[in-house]
Amino acid sequence: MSAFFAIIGRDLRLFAARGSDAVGVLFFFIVVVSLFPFSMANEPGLLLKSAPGILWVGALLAGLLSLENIHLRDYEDGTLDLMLMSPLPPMGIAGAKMLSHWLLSGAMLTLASLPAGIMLGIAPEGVLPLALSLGLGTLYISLLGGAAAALTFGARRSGLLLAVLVLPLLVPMLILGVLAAEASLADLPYKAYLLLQLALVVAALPLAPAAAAAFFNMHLRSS
Amino acid sequence: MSSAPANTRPSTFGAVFTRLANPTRFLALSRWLMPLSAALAALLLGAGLYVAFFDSPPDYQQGDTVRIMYLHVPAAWMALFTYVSMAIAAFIGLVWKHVLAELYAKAVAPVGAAFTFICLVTGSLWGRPMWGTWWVWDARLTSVLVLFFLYIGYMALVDAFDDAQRGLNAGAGLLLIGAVNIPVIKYSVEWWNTLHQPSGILSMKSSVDASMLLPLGLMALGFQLLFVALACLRLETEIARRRLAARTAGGY
Repeated sequence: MSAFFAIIGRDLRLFAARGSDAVGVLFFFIVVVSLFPFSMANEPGLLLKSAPGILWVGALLAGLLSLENIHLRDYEDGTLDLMLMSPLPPMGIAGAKMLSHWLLSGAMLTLASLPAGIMLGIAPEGVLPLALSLGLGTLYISLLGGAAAALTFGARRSGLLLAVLVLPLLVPMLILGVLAAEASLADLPYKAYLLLQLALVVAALPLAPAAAAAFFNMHLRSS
Repeated sequence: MSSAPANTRPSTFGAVFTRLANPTRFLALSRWLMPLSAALAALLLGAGLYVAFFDSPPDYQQGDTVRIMYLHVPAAWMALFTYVSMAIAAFIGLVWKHVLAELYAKAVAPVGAAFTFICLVTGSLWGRPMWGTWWVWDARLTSVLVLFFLYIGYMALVDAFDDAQRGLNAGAGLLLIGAVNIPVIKYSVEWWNTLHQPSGILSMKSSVDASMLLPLGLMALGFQLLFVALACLRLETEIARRRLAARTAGGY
């Protein structure tokens, strides 16, 4: 277990030392969200109505932006090989990488969605359910994306490829997240949608690291 | 790197399964199966199209536009069938290192994508007179669209590697992730929005008249045989390409 937290701690320290990546993702999210008001007809209420979708698509794109680097740097400089030699099973390594990716992208996006939601005209008490749905959704992105990113080692243009692979698989999460946010904005019960999101996350929690571990082995054998 | 093992052990899947792992044996099979299924497909599709367009009654509500169904529904079936068969082949290829199964998924992916595309286009053409619009963000349309994206993603991934075997392995992994996700995608879009009529062939057997089932059956069987012919042809091509690469580069 200490190796598990050591990997997360290492990623957090790397972020503290280098920074740029996760901060870039955060700014990307804020810039994308603030572009929508310019691109839409200046009609009262329209922005508020589209706010859940805007925030969700913004978070999806921003989350994808950083996915490529979830394992790639470690794979290219050999760190991944060393980690795989440690007593921690490959599944644990993949899980730790996914969790640290979420802490550095998803969790930050979730926090940033609070002010961004208010800027789009959501009442302060309506922002919280939306942030909850985004928190679950970005965790799902990190899990699923971490598994898919392990598939693209050594591929050409792997960043673009990864987006094409992962986005269709995220459709269910997007639908449930937007439904939850819209329901909360309309003062309807939204808990069921959040629970369904949670169900998806819980299902992916063991499956995605297991798949990523299998893909690690596949690539190590063939390279 | 993976050529057919010389002594294939008999497995529980029976002799056919292991015999086919040898590309040479498959080529011998394909030599007569491909032309045969192609000829039968031409025959059935010809008959099916004739009956569908000239010798079947118009629908009492939809009129002549119902004839689009004879292309649309079999294409939808084949779109799903091809993806499921690819996922099964990917599993067999990963677990047993079955050479032909590994190549199969790559070989039939464009065929499946084409069926999906036919389904989307005919659906759009059918939607215009029926629903008054070319495209609606309806649950079943959307899930077929996502299926199309999955095909495109698979083909892009397999082609993105310099080492072809790595591409096949990565593609197989993606197919398995996709297969797990397909039911989730299907249910989620259904909660989200639905306008499409429920599929009516198996659930409400009595409501579709026999005069319409005949062309539908002919077309479905024809599409299936066309798929077999195309799959054989493309597998032959893949095997030839693999042998060529092995001969020229000293490794694949």
